[in-house]
Amino acid sequence: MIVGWKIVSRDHNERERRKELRASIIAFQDRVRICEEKGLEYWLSAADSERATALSVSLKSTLQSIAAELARIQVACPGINANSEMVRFRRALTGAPFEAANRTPCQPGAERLADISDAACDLTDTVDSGYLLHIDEGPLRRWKRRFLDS
Amino acid sequence: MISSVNIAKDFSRFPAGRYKSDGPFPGEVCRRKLLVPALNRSEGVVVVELDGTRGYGSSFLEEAFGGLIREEGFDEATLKSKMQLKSSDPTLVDEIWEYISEAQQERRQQQ
Repeated sequence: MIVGWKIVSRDHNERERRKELRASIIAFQDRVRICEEKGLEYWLSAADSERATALSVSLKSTLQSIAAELARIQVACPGINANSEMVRFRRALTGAPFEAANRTPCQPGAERLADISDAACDLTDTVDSGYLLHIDEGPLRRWKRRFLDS
Repeated sequence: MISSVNIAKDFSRFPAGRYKSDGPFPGEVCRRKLLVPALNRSEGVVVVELDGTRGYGSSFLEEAFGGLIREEGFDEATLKSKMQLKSSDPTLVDEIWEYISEAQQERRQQQ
């Protein structure tokens, strides 16, 4: 009975952990989408507008918290590695001429806007597929992989 | 000997833009007033602390760090041995080294 209880308890803990991880991934993906929208608005607005100034400050701090959130998710789920996608997302959003005095607004359909959405999509997809791989593997296979890797 | 510079404390908590014309704390000024003097002054490793600001734009990072190669004549190997980047965000460090590598490649292509 004690062994059975231990197994049930372990499975329950594993399920709870997965639920928490899934919730933080969904929150992370929502944040990336909001950041993408802010980024698109920034690049469509005039450089000297008050809105663009506010958006540029907000974009930088949001990117900082997204990166911190990604680091936490990667610790909780070692199957996820989206560092290069995070770099690409930041570069697409805040690469030159970001915050330049002589920046001109992008035209709708500009390549930069497509790059931003593409990078956002890549980032959320990579996190998602890393999570699914981690979950599909199951604890035994995961342990085996870690054992073989080490 | 190890020396260190802290962008938030020694430069600004609000780094923004690439050139002087873009605002008071752009990458160009950070490079000239903080990074280059620190790298020239120190005979050992210079630790560049990136934490503490309200975020970085890639344009700032490219000008501040890629500019070390493009404008100031440093090379990637020297920077790798002389400069250590410290941040709680590993993607920031990766991005900066990407800019340094790209600037080095550009210089090679021009030669």
